[in-house]
Amino acid sequence: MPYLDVSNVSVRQGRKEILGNVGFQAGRGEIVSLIGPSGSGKTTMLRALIGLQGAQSGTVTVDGRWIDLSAPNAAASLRHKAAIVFQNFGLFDHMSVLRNLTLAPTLVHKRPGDEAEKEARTLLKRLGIEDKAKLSPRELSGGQKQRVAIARALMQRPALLLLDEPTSALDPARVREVGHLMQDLAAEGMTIIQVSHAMQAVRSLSSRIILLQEGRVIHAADSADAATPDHPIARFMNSQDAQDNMA
Amino acid sequence: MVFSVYDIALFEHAVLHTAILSLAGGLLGVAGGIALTAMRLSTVRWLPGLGLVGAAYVQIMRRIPFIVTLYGLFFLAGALGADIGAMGVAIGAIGLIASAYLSEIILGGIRTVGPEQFDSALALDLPVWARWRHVVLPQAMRAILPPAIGYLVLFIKDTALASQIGVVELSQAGVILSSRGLPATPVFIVVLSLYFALSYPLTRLSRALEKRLALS
Amino acid sequence: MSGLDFHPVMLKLPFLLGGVGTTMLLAGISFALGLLLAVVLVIMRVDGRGPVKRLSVIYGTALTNTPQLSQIFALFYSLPLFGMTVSPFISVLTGMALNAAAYLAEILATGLRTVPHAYHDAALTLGMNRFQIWTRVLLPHAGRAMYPALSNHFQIMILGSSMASIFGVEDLTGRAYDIGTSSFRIVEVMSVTAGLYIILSFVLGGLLALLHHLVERRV
Repeated sequence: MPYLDVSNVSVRQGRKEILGNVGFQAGRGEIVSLIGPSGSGKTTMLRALIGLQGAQSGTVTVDGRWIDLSAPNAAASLRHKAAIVFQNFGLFDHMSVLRNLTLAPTLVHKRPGDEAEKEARTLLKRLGIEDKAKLSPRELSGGQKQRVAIARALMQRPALLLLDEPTSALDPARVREVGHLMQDLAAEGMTIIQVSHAMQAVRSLSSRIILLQEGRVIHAADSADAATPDHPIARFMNSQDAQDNMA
Repeated sequence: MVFSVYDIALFEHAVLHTAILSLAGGLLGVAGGIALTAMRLSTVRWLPGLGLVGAAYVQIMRRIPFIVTLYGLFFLAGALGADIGAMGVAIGAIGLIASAYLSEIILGGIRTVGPEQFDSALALDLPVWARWRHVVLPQAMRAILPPAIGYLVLFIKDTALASQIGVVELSQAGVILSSRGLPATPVFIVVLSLYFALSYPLTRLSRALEKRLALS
Repeated sequence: MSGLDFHPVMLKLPFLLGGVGTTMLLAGISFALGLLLAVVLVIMRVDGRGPVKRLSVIYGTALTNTPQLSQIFALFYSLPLFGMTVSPFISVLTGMALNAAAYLAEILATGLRTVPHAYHDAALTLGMNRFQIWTRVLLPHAGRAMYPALSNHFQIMILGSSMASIFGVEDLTGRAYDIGTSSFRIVEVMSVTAGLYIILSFVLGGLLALLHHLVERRV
């Protein structure tokens, strides 16, 4: 039984099918990349995995826990197991970095305040931003904000870490940094799912690549296979590279 | 000295009434505004009409002159036998109208909070009350507080109309003293100055808050 | 006094509707006059030196932090002392115009802040004099930018005109009060009157939006 098994996810809005029968698997500590042209539904899939998008059908099995996406309490169950880092981070400006991290653990999981704070500081230290603990997110750079957002997600102690376009808001040096971070986390056993259109990063980081188009999985492969020149995924990624270079 | 001891007593009495009308009406308006906003945002399945009722209420109340509401309410209260006095009616009327305006201000403020904030709060599995208390409202306050205080200044001006249903407030004091034979100009200079003393600090506060709370 | 009876109100409906005309006249004329004075005030504020500027600011601050009703009372009771006997209608009109000028000046000032510096500079380099810059560049731009705020204030003045009834003016509210006191059906007449104001508000809103649309298209 794979650590993560997503199957038969479908999302409709009115008569429009946004996702149809989407499924994929991943082992523990793997980095899965969802790629595809815009409108392919990859962000919707990510949002469905954290309960921000309702689904008409689908099941997620993660770390032994089976969740029916169409059930009314799916969102709560998902949020117990997964945590997300948004493209624009979604940090709470009106509170300190530290409070951003301890808010949910103390309020939702009822962890004692000083314990949560210690854990938060340890995480911030690991990410190299311990000195920013008492600052407001407004005073941080893009890369620093992302690290806060990642720390906040890690405070949830998730089995699954979801990243929405983790490299889009960063400059090249930071892109490499966050790539290293992702690899470190994966090595420690974190299963990561990212939506990305940065093909370079996708190539170097992923153990599995899922190609979506118009709401369906067109191809899914291990990164080694996907790298062979004639593989459809490789061809898609090359065309994306060309597009990005022209832009 | 133009004013006798009795005149000054009348002014004191009147200012007090104006202040009470403004504050009580204002508080009622805040409570009503919050309730209306909750109604308009509600997604409760077993009361689908709530949002519409709230929206309709706001649309209607903002298009009726305050004095018409005041007269209507006063005589309605009389007809129903409600024993709340002119002050009570005036406070009620101010509250009813203020609710509509404040609801608009509150909703406007909430709308300034980006959807990603809501998303983050949801993704962190924060319960409804925590989402509002810790994430949405603190940020919405930045856009709510300055216009809300500015609106308080408006209440104070509306209280002048309460004179028409018998409340002896500041405007009425001016009319009374002028009718008694005191020279109108000094009387009204005092009246207007007193209103100014009540309103201007709030106007300044509203502007100061706007600057302080504005996002960089 | 049991149960509502709209019959006496309905009988007098034509009389009531006649009040709408007075209301519109009152609001319309005072808005126009107020706007003219507002232009003067805002020029004083922006282009004026020391005392002139201060005078405009004091005027604006004083009239926006005191109730319109009190201002009209002040006029109503003070004017006779200066030998002027004016009708209630004129008193209210004057009071409303003076009050409107303060608010409209504030709105225009905000509008002026949206005029890009480049416009002003361009006008100067084209050799325009002060008057021309104001009338051909600054005011039109400010007016257009603040059209929503200006028309919103007009709607506010329609509602505010109801206080004319206190001085005996036969506007919509004044006539409503007459009908009410003579028929003892005040709740009913006020409900109908409220309805009329609501309808008027929507109709005016539509007309003002239409006007905006038409003017914008001609540019």
